[in-house]
Amino acid sequence: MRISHWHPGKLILLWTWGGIIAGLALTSFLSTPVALSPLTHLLTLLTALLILVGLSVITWIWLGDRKSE
Amino acid sequence: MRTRRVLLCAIFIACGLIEWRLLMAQAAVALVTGKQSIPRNFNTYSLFLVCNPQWLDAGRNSGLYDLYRQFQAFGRAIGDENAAIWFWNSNGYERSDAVLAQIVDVERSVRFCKSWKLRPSEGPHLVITSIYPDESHLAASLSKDHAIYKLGDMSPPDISRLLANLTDELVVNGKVDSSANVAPANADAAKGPPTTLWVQLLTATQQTLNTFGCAWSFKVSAGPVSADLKSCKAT
Repeated sequence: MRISHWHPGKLILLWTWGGIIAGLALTSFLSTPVALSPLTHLLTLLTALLILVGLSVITWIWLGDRKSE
Repeated sequence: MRTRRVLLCAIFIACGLIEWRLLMAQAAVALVTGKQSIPRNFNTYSLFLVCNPQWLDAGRNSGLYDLYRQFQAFGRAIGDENAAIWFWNSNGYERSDAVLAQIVDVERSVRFCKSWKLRPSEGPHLVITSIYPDESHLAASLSKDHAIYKLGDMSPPDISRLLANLTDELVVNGKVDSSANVAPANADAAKGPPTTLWVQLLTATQQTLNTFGCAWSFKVSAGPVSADLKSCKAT
């Protein structure tokens, strides 16, 4: 399924859910001291970053494909 | 001639007294081997108890040797009125550090650990009491102002610092203030192991995000209605 055929609504949905999960991960990262569980904090931070970066990549490709049309 | 004999006798007696005095000073470091009982008539007794099986591993000989050397220095520094006690099975400690773990009298230490409810995994332990530690009545051998230090999680520099503090207290006050000394040791233990670089970076990231998150505020002004939203509660 080519991204250029995706509906904008799907992108909004992806960003909404991705944003919620990233927000929860960041909240978890910020709420407790790192020293308590460093590995957990690392995973939550990486999860948040990966979600945001992944969504950005998808949006970039989608926008690029649309522009090339 | 007679004067010379008297003078020589006086010199020999003086030498004997000095040697006896030195022996008494060395007695402050009481190294109890075999079935020797703990010497009496000291103001305080500082017992090193090795009950932790991890410290009996042959690979820990150098750590045990370092601890023993620190103990020796401590025993010499606390004076003649205070005894520092370490239990050995034999006198092999004088000849070699390669067999230290094998000649530590663990069984004897464990009797103390059991009676005084010391967890072996937290040891070795340093117990300071002003009551003579009678091995036939160990439960009653801990004075009210006794102090127990768990050395298992302490690094060698921390142990050195602790022993230096205890030496000050024993020499100056003749006793230890257990609350004053437990707090630094526990504080060090409570801090946890030294943080690695990536943990420090994570902590810095967390602080930066927290600071950034508190830096903004949102104000809405619509005629009679105005709202001021701040991300963090003002302290």
